[in-house]
Amino acid sequence: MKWIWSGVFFIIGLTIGLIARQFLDLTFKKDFDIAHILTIVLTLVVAAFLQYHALGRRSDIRAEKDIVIDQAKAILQGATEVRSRFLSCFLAKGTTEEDLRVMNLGLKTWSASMAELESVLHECKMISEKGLLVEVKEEFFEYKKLLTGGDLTLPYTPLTYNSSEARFKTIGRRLRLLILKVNRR
Amino acid sequence: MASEQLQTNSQTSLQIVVAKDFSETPGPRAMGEDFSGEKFKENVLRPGFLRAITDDNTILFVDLDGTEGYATSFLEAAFGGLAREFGSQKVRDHLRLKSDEEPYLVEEILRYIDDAK
Repeated sequence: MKWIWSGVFFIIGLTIGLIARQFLDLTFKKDFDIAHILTIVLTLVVAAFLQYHALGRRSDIRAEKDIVIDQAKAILQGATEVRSRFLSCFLAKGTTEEDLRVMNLGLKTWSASMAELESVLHECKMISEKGLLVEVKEEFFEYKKLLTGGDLTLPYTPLTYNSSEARFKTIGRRLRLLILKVNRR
Repeated sequence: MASEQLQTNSQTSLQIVVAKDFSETPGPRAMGEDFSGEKFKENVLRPGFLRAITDDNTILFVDLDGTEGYATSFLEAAFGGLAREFGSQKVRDHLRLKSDEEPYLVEEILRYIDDAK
């Protein structure tokens, strides 16, 4: 696609040059002003410098976005695994010690990933996205309470199921919104 | 005994490392269950805390790293239970929590201490 545009610009430039040659009386001076030459050289150097930095900054921003998005996706994945274990306990109407171990470990990983994401957002100065993460964290505390805060010798109730599903959906929505916001930057 | 003596700056501290002094897999809430929060409070946390509050200048330092995670019921029974017995402010004054692996855990426990009734 790039070479097509380059060709189009070349043809436009050539056409303008040919037309100008027809209608303007252009002559070249044999003597030249050193100040003019320096101005042209300086202009070219500044243009090259600006382009180099603009491209560098753009690729830095892309790398930052990729890190944040990957981290948010990892949290979503971890959250899904915890939910899946919870759902199997709910359906089985019982929670074993092994189930609790797996959920505790999953919740720990999830929590650590959120803290990691918070530090990345801080590092990249993504302030409004940090606000969304704070909301996710609050939902996470409530979600964890529903899953591991009760008497585990008793099965999960339908009320716990409904509340936890609502929390889980909110967490998913907030994280997806965070990914979209980061991507739009 | 769960607690050991540490010397930090001018202040003496007692230290509990949950993974070493209690379990790498802390369990649920109730006393009857393996590695429960109540058991942790009674056998490890409370004795350490009692030692800490006998001297005003002593802090009980709890290292939470090295475990497979904590259930809410465990944390509430242990730290909330301690706050119910001694008062939230006293627990906050004499307790320091550390979790490098799960930074939000400290904030979570402080909520249970503050909300303890």
